[in-house]
Amino acid sequence: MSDILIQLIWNGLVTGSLIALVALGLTLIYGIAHFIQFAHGEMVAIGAYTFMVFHKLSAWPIVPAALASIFITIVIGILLEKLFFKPVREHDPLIPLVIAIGLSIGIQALILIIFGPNILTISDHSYESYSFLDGALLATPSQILAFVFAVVLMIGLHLFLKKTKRGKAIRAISSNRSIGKTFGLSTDKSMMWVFGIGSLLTAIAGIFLGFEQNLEPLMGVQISVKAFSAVILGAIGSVRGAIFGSFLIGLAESLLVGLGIVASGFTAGIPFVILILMLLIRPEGLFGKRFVSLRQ
Amino acid sequence: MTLSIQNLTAGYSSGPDILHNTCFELREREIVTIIGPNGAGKSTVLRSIFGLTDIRKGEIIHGSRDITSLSTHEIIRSGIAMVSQGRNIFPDLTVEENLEMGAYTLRSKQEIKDKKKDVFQFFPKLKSFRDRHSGILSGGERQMVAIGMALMLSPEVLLLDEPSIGLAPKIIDEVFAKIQHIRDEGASILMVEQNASKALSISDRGYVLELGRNALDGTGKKLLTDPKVGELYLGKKGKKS
Ligand SMILES: Nc1ncnc2c1ncn2[C@@H]1O[C@H](COP(=O)(O)OP(=O)(O)OP(=O)(O)O)[C@@H](O)[C@H]1O
Ligand SMILES: [Mg+2]
Repeated sequence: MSDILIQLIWNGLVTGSLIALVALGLTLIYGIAHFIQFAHGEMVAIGAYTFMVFHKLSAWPIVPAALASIFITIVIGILLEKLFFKPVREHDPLIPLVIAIGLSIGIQALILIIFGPNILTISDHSYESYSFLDGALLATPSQILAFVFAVVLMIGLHLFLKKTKRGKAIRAISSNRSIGKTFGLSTDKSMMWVFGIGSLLTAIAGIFLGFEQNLEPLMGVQISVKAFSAVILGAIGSVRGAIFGSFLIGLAESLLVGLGIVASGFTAGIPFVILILMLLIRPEGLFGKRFVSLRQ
Repeated sequence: MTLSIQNLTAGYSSGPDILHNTCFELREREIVTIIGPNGAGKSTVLRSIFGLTDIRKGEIIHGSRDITSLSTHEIIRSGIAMVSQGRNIFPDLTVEENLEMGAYTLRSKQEIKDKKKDVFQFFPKLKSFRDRHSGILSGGERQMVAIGMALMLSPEVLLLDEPSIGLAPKIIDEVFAKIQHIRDEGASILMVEQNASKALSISDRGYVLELGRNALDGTGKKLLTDPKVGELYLGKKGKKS
């Protein structure tokens, strides 16, 4: 019993890490641009598929393939902002939201056209699991790396936002864009950074997700639904909240299904049930602000 | 003349003209106040100086430099800072971070550090709040943060848009005393105010703006005793927009 518990907690932490990598971008984008980037999940798929192209189809080693895939995903993320979201930046947030939904469907269709509907694997190679604690815990190399990467990236992001001038400027613009202008802060630059960072994180999530599961055109939707729930759970716009919400959902899924409390067919519903409970108890989210933010 | 606005006609993006041929002047170490009813275009004057409107005619000269078509960034670097009306801080940032963002256009870290020290000396209260989220501060404290952000730039010209808005009378006096202090240290101040009597009484000169046009101007004393100003503006003490 305790053996399986350790394994389930580990699986939950890994899933939570991957959700968090997606949720962080969502929450940052919402914070600065005030809309939900519905196509953010598709950036996960772009990261995974481009990695597969470099690593499996072109036989590049893992590291260069990963770097190339991350780079391409970042460029695409920044371009999407410049081409589709920047022109409607001063409009009602409903407009970028609708554009994002359109982009999400469009990118899914594109992946379907290019790679077909079949499930693909990210690598031909299969990796041995490591065994810890006298076999109580089995962890694949990609699980271990995903968890370590996620934690390092979270700490890095936290330090970036709190300590660097650019990070503070991003928080400032998120907090009050028009006042940012009167002190010479560039909204364009901060937007570019946020979409770039968001894409970087999703690309990494996509690569690890590809190792953990398989590639399919809708893979972005599955994880982004969990990430949406995590973000709202933690309080949208909050970085700490997104991280906390992600691990909560990851652990809840793993434990509830693993211990047989919820049938595995209902896994997809778990984030929503948690979300609904949360909204009933504390609608502002776990890390919601008590004071009213002066957003403009 | 430190700031000279000549025949300024301006509006927003594709909208109608808001200001029509308006002129304002600010001399060195003056406090000049613009008064006028809501919607007259007072904030638009300050925003035009800051490159945040669509200027259709006229020119804005700072010192000997034409700043009419400069970017906000360049205007700040030319020595002008603005404290906006109302929501004029970053509520999710700490007081100290707000000050740092005020100095965003400064490059030297040491300079930012020194300026921060100066501002904390000028507003000692802010120092004890430095790590607090500015969003939870009182209205008066927030206004001090906002002015502190502008002071981080040691501006030659300080533009203040309704610094007394929403503040209790006692706090207004404190803020106005600080404004006089800033002038005494060498800055020139162009201020927009609804609280006409208090503002004019600390001003060297004033302008009345009505429907985007210059209606009256003169020394602070003269406007304070002008019957028309008295009837229209001095009866409405502390009115908020
Ligand atoms: N960003 C904007 N875009 C379009 N029109 C604007 C904008 N800001 C202000 N206006 C319009 O310009 C006119 C003048 O506004 P302004 O804010 O300059 O007035 P004000 O004298 O400062 O008023 P108040 O005392 O209420 O602050 C108003 O009709 C207003 O609707
Ligand atoms: Mg105004």
